[in-house]
Amino acid sequence: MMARGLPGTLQRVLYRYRNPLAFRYGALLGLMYVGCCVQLDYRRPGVSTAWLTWTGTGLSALSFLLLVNAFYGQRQAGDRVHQTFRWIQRTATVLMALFITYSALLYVNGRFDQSVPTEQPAEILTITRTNLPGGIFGPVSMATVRIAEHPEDTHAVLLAGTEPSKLWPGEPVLIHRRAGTLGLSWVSRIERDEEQYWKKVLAQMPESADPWKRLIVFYFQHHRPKDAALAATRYFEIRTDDYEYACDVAGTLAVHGMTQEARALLEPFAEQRPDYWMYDVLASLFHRLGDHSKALKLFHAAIELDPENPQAYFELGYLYKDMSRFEEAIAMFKKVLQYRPIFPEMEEQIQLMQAQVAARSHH
Amino acid sequence: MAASVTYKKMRLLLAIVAAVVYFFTKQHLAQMDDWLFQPSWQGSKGLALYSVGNLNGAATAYRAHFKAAYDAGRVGYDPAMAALLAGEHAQAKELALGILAKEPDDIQAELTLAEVALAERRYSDVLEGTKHVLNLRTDQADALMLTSLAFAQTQHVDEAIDAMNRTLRHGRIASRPSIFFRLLETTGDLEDLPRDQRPLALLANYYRYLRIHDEANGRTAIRYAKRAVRTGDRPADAYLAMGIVYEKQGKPDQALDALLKAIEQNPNHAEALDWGYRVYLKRGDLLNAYHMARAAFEAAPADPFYEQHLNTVLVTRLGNFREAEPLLERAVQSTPTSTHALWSLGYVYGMLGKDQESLACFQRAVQLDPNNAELYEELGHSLARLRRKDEAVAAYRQAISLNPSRYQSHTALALYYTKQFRHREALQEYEMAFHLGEPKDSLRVQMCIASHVLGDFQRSVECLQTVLTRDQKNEAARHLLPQIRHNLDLQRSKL
Repeated sequence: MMARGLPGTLQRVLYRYRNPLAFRYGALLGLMYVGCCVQLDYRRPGVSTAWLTWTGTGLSALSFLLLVNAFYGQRQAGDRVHQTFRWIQRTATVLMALFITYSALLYVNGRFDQSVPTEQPAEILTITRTNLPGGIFGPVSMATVRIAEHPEDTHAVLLAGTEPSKLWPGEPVLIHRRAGTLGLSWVSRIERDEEQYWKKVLAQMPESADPWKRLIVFYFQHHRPKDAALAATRYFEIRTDDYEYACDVAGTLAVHGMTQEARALLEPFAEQRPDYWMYDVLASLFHRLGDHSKALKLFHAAIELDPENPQAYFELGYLYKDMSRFEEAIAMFKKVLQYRPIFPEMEEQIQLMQAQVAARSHH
Repeated sequence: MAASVTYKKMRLLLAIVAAVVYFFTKQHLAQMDDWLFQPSWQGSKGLALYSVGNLNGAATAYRAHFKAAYDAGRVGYDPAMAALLAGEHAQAKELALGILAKEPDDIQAELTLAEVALAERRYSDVLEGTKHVLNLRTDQADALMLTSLAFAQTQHVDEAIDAMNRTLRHGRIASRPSIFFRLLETTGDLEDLPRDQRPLALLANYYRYLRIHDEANGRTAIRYAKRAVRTGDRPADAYLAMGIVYEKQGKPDQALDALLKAIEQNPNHAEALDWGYRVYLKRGDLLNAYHMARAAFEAAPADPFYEQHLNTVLVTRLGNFREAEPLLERAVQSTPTSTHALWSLGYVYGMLGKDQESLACFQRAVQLDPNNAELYEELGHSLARLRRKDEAVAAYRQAISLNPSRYQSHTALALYYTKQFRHREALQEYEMAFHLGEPKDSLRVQMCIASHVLGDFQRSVECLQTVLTRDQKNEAARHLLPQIRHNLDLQRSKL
C-alpha cells in the first residue's frame, strides 16, 4: 500500500526483498546503537563496562547471523538450520531487549540526575584502547583504576569523549561520581587530579611558576582558599618579583575572606615596588583588619601616585567613615563623584555623613 | 522457481560484497597522494605495481609515463623538473646550469644538479650540492632527502637515517615529485637486496616517510621495524620509526612504549628523546616532557632544534624562567634575527623583573617582524610595566590594527585601560574581545565592573547575573552583585 506512489522498479525491489524479520532486526540494531551511546554517556563503573564491550561484540556477531537468517528465512519448518536460527533469534531478541532496557534505565538514571558530583581520587593503572565491533562507535578506551580510598580494589571504567587522549597509566585522576536518579551511581567525568599532578611536578621543579599558579587556581576553583593561600605563600617565597600576580592573588583571597593571609602575602611587595594598585589593595586589607593608621597611610600613598583614580578616594571615604571622621569622608566621596558622576551610593553616603556631622554639631 | 530465487539472492549478496569492496578500495585510495595517480596507461601500471609492493617496477612505470608526456610536449612541471622526471638528465643539467649562471644561489637549480648526480651515481657530487643548499637554508627538506638517498645508495645507513630524521622533524617533506619517485626506486632497490643484507631499520624509516604519501605504508614500516629489532639492526632507529608511525596512527600508548624502548637502546638518541617530548607534551605530562626535552638537548647541545623545544617547555609550559634565561641568551646570540628567540627571551626577562632588557628584546623583534600582532602585545606589556602609558596603549593599538580579529590584543588593551581607570574604553575592548571569542569567564567580571563604574548599573547587574549563571560560585560576582544592586535601587528611587 505504502509503495503505491513509488516508481515501478523500486516497487518491485521492495516487494521482492521485504522481510519483516529484517525490519525487526534493523530496528533492534538501531536501538542497540542508541543503547551503546547511552551506556557511554551515563557509564557505570565495574561490571557493566565489560558487559558493554563484550555484549557489543556478541550482539554484532548475532546480528550478522540474524540478517543471514532474514534472507534465508523461507526455509521449511523442521529444517535443522531453520530451527537453529529460530533458537538464536529468540535468545538474541531476549538479550537485545535486556540490553536496551538496561540502557533505558541508565538514561533515566543519568539524564534526570540532579545530584552534585563527588570527586573521588584514584589512579589509572592501565588503559586498553579497543574498537567496538564494526567500527560503528569508533575506538573506545577502557581504564582500570585504583580508588585512593580502597587501594586494594581495582575497577574498570570506560573513557569517554576526549578523556582517552588526556589520560595515561600512572596518572592521578579525579572520578566525578553522581548518585543517579534511580540510585545507580554513575561516572560523569574523569579528569586529571590537578592537585596531585602539580604537586608532583613541583616536588621536582619547585622554581617553576606555572605549576604553582595552576595549583593556586585549582584551589580557588575548588573553593579551598586556605590551601590557595598556603600555595601562594610558597610561590612568592620563590618568586619575589611577581608583584602583579601577588595583587591578583591577594585580591582573590580577600574576596574569599582570607584578609590576614592576603595582607601577609602583599606586604613585602609594597615595600619592594611602590604601585597604585598594590597600595590600594593593601590599604583595604589593613582597613578590614582594623589597622586604620596603616590603611590611611597607604591610601594616601596610592593617591599620591595617581591622584585622578577615584578608587582610593572611594575606599578612603569609607575608612574615614569608620573612623568617625565624617567631614573627611564627605570630602573623599565628593572627590569620587568628581571622577564618577553617576554613583548614587556616594550621594547617599554624603547625605548620611552630613546628617552625622549635623547631629554631632547639634550635640 | 526455487533455483531462480536462490540465484537472485546470490546476485544480491554478490552486489553487497562488491559494494563493500568498492567502499574499502575507495577509502584506501582516498588517503593516497595525488602523485601516485598519473592519467596514462603507464601511470596506472605504476599504481598497480605500487599497490602490490613492487616499488622498483612502479618507479620505472611512472618514469615511462613522464617520459611519454615529456616527448609529447605535455610537461605540467617547470622544464628542468619535467626533464628530470622523464629521465632526460643532460637536458635537466643544462637548464639548471643556465639558471645558476644567472642566479648562483638558486636552490631549485642546485637541487636539480644534485638529482642528476644521484641518477648518474656520482654520490660525492650529490653530497656537495646538497651541502651547499643546506648552508643556504638549514634543514631544507629536498636537500636532506637527496642526502639520505645518496647515503642509502652507498650503504651509509646511519647517515641516511639521520638525514631522513632531520627532514621530517620539522613536519615537512620533500616538495619535488622527482625525489618521491627516486625514494620509491631506492626503497625498491633496498628491498631487492638479499634478505640478510637488507637494511631493515632504514627500510622502516623510508616506509615511515612513504606513509605520509600513503597511510597504508605505516603497517609496512612497523613490520620492517619489528624485523629490524628482532635481527638487531639499529634497534633504536627501528623503535623510533615504530613509535612515530604509532603516534601518527593515533596510538599514543604504543608510540610511547616504542619510543621509550628506542631510548633504552640508545639513551643519547636525540630524535627519539625529542619524540618522547612531543608525545608527553601532547598528553599534558609536562614533567616527563621536560625530562625528555632536557635529555634531547643534552644529547645534541649544538642543535638549536632541540634547544627550542626545551625552551618551549621551560618558558611557555612550566614558567621555569631562571633555567631558560641562559639558554635563550645563547639562542639569541647564535640566531640574532630569530623573532621567536627574541620573543622568548623578552618574555623571560619580563617575568624575571628585567623590564628594560625585556623591552629591548621586543623592540628588536618588532623591527624584524613589524607585522606580528603578538609581538606588539608583548611590547605593550613591557611598556606598561615600565609605566610608559601612552606608548603601551599605542603598542596594543598597533597589535589590534595588524590583526583586528585577534581577541587577545583587545583583552590586553582592556585590562590595561582598566588599570588606568579608563573604563569606557576598557568596556569597548572587553566587548570586542568577547565578541571575537575570548574564553575566560573571569574577565567577564571586569567587564561588569566597567559598566558599574560608568554608571550603567542595570547592565552591570545583568552582566554579573550572566557570570553567576555560568559559575554559581564565582566569589567576585557574588561579592559585587549586592553592592551594584544597591546602586541600581538608589538610581531607580531617584527617578
